Amino acid sequence: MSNTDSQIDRDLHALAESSARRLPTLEQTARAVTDARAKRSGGSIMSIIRKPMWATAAGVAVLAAILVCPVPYSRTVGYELTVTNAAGRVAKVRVAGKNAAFAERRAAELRTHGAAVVVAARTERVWGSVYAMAKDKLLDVHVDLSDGKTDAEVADDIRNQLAAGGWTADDVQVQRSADGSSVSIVGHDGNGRAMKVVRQAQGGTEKDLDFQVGGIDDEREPGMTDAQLRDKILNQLKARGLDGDVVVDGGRIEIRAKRSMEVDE
Amino acid sequence: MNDGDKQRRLMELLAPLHDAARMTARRLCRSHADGDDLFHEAVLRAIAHVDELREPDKFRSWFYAVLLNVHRARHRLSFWRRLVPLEDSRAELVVDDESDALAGAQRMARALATLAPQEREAVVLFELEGFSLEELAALQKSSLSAVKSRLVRARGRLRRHYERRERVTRPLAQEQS
Repeated sequence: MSNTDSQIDRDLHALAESSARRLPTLEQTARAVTDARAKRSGGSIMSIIRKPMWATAAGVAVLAAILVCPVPYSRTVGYELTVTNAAGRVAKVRVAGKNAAFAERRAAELRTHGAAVVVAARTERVWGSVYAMAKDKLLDVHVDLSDGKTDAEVADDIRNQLAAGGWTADDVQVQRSADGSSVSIVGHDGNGRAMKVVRQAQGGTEKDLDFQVGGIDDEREPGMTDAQLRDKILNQLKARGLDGDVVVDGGRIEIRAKRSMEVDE
Repeated sequence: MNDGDKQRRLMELLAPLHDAARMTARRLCRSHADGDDLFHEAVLRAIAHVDELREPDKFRSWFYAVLLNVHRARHRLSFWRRLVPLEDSRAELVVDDESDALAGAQRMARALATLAPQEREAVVLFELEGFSLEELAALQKSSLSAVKSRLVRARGRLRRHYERRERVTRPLAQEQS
């Protein structure tokens, strides 16, 4: 067997292993199917494009904004003050809470006693949703496409707006043609939190590009079951006009949110 | 049979097959997200037609036939061909000890995407799912010899894809080192 064939076999095996990751249960499938059937009566993106009248309609664009999660990220759970006194003795003090200003005030108090104090954030790595990590940061991104911007300029505009909102865009891909467009954004904020937005359009020409990042509360309140937390997230997605597919399984939250719309040229 | 009854019946029949069929759907697509969409679409179609299933003991082949029909129908729709695949965020934000395996899986998913739908199905069902050539022939409504040719052709295309990729990536890797 050649090296190439061995590589193909190894990769086939890897693909088989990978497809078993985070496999939804039968119950989750049943729930998703029930939701999909309910939504189809109102017309989902799938049912719209299945109808020939839509497939051949001119001057109509179908747009979808999709957020996929979960993603691993670090979050600050408190602060640690390293205090060194004049004799060189070192002590560490933990400050609970996420308020950096409070930790700095504590450090300032200790400094008045002649100690050298270094403040460092204590972080933990968790899995959560893009919404969870950004729930205090609802960011509106809007790009006017009617003024002849190139794809690269649109990408720069998106980067700048994300930067203004505290996000660093790691990868922004913008591709537009007469057939449609696709925009893919992967970014993170200053605390190592990540987000991903994919927007796809078919047919027609877009005059505007706008989407929101964050703004959904997915904190589990005391005593809340998985189903209740799922409903809480779904209601927020619905309120924002998004079709949501939410899986809550203990500490794992997976949200896929879509918005589909028809835009007249 | 009303829609609720149809869904309950389908779910009962699907239970022993659920995990394997969902994995098949994922393997047929370039990302788990696309595979899960394909699987849901197949389940929805199966629910609509489950009252036409006369022999429940043949559910496995019946459901896989539905899955493959949906897979090919999606490929035929120009809409889906134009869209970029939905990559999995978890694949991109991978922990180090899993990166090699995931890179291999992504490499293969990309390679399979270059095959024609029926070739991709043949590779996935025969090489990964353990379907026999006869079962595959029945599912693809092809003769045994056609299925064998398809598998040989698909393997050849995969090999050429990997060799082309190697020619491109090796000089880059050497430059970087």
